[in-house]
Amino acid sequence: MKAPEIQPLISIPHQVAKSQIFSNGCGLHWLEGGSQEVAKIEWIWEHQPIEGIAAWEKDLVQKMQFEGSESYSRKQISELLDFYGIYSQFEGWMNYSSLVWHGLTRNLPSLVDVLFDVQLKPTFPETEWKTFQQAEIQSFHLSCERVNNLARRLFNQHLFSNHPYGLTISENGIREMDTQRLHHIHSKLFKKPFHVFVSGKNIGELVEMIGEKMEGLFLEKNDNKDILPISYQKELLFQEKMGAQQNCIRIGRLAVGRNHEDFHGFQVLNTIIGGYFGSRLMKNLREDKGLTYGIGSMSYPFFEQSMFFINAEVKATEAQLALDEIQKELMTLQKELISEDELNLVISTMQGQMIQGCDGIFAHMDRNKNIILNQLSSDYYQSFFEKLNEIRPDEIQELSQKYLNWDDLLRVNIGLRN
Amino acid sequence: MELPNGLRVIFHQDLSTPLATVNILVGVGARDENPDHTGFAHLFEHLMFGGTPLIPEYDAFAQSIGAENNAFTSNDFTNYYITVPSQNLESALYLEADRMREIELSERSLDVQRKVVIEEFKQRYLNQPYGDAWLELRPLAYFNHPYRWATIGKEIEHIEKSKLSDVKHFFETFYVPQNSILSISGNFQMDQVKTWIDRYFSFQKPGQQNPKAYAQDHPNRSGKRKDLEQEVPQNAFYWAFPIVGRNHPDYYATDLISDVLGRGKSSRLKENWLKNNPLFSQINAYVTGDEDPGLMVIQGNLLPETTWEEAEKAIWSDLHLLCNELISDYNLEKIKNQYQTSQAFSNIDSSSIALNLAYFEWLGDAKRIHQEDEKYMNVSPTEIQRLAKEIFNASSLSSIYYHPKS
Repeated sequence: MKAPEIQPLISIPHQVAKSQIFSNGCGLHWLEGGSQEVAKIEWIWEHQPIEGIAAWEKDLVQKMQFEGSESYSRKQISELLDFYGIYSQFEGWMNYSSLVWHGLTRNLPSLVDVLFDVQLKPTFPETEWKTFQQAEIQSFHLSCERVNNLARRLFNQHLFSNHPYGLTISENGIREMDTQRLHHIHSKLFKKPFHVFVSGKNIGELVEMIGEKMEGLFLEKNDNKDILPISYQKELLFQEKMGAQQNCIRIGRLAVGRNHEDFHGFQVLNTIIGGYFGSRLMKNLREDKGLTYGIGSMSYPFFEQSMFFINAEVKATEAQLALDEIQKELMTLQKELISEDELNLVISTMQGQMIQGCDGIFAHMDRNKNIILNQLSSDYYQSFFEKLNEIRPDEIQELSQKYLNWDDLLRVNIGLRN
Repeated sequence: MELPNGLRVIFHQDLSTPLATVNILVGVGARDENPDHTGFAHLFEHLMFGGTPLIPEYDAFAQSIGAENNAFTSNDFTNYYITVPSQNLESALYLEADRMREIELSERSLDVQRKVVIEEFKQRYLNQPYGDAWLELRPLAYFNHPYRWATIGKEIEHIEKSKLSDVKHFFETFYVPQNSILSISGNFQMDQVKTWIDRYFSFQKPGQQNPKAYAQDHPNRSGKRKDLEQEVPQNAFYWAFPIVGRNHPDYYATDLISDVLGRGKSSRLKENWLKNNPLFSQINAYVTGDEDPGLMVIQGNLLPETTWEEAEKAIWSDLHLLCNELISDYNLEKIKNQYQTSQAFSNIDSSSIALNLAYFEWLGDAKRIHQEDEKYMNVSPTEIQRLAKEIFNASSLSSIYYHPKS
């Protein structure tokens, strides 16, 4: 049977959110649409790195906000959220915190007051903290049994050495934390201007209520952008985990940020290496040698830089082979031009992924969020989409030579000694 | 609609999305496996990505049309989906029909996928604390029913010894139109898509719908307990009580009972024993929701100072309360509200709509997707109490207890 003709992907749809910026620095953004009567409210705080404050500490602060606020006790907060069927979810990375509330549109207005109180006026009650701390220590112990967590922590410590991003969680750290410090971090990071993104169906009333609340807030402005210089350690680190059935390998570096001329090309290079199912690493380590269930790479931009890394859990007794094969694949990219066919496949994959990210109103809002927070032009995605068609094989080779020298990479291996 | 070859097809049109999803549910899961060759349905799912005589590289074709695709295997069925920019829907149908008709099976691809699945086995079940809980719990909670093993398989050796001839037989027996459901959701024109389905999916293949006849267990069977000493950081337990299957009228109230106990921070187990009187670092309750009679699971990790006696007493006090006292209208309304939110959010993107439609059709009728809500809303406090009394029987409890190696 003859295959249908493949239709080229030409453009990606974009729905533009409406915005209101208040004089206190807060921004409210909304996008109406969708078929179900549901809505999503996302709060975002952007953080500058602050000497001595670790990302895990801010995560704790955020979770502890639900343990009591000026007008609501912990129990009232959890009862109200559950009664109205609201699901909340934390996200975030070192440079931002996000809190998402999902619910039926009709139920959310009743919660707006709670929302603001929890976010801006948490009380961090002592007894609630003790209980929380105890559970947190247990979950830390549990996390230490997974090679993936150990690799991520060791990698971050050395990628961000001499920088707050390199401060990773420890049992002592949790034990030494107290409510005073929770208050301190909260006021440093969360009593600052923030953005709220509201999307969903029939959200008019909700947007109005949130806008009124935001407008009246008095918040200390963010400190000037004071980005500490970041350098990373280029070395091979091994940490033994007795009895491991799989080793976790994490290899990467700091690389260029969104505004650098190499950025778009580097995204393509990342996809070739480990950004899709047919990537070089998946083909070799999984589909040819069966060394892993999955291997991937990612490139995560923040400020003027990005973090690039390859990550895989591999057969413990053959971790060295896995490392060798990863090195071999990176060297091949440096030595040999990628074929037009493979490059075209990667481009259509990336363009497909971009269109996949337009399914539904929440996905559209995520696009807007990225544009607003990173101060990108409104046609950013469409122009990225088109730029992809211009990438040439020799650019990929040049970027590989520039960024993928084995000795320039931080390489972490956790598990059995081979 | 149903094609002459027995393939059932369901549509859901949504012109507001730029995407379309093709979902194929095949009525075969781990429960259809030979007890000596478990893990086979899932291993086979991996082989479905290995190419065909016509399209040697499944993934390359999928990538060339901008697709996002994946599959999963449950104890009951296997599900494949592919979501594409809607202008390439025809190509997606062509691609999916092709591998349902014929696949290229080789010793080489079987050998590689065996290794990959063994690494998956280690990553998900062995290389993390409590990862083997379900491997241990199933054979205690089920005696006869093939739910007594996990989809990944009983043990790695079963995967190692899978043979190519078994693979071929499996494909010929279960991967037939009569045993499959095709659902399409997203942006398409109905006439056009029907023409395409007719063109690509009308192939004939001998076979029949899976009769789904399995050895059942007695609902009041007596449970078993197993103690495990392992490299784990804390004492932890998994309790399993037998419950009804997904099609039983009591399923809805049963599901809500697990929500009363463990859904949301204000649920009884979480409020009482994580916060109010902390005995655990985490605690959860959920139902399996399989087609045949399943399990309600209560799972928790003990805080270091908590004794086993305290832990058990605490859980039982909440279970007994459900048996002895009617749940308040407020509490019932709360869990119904929670259900409604999650229900609305599970029908948003085109791939989950396609999966939900195929799933309900497989359960008996795709229209049920619109009727579930009412069934949950009609659950009464007395029903909850009646079922709690039936379910929470100490004698039918199966359990595993993890103890850290000293």
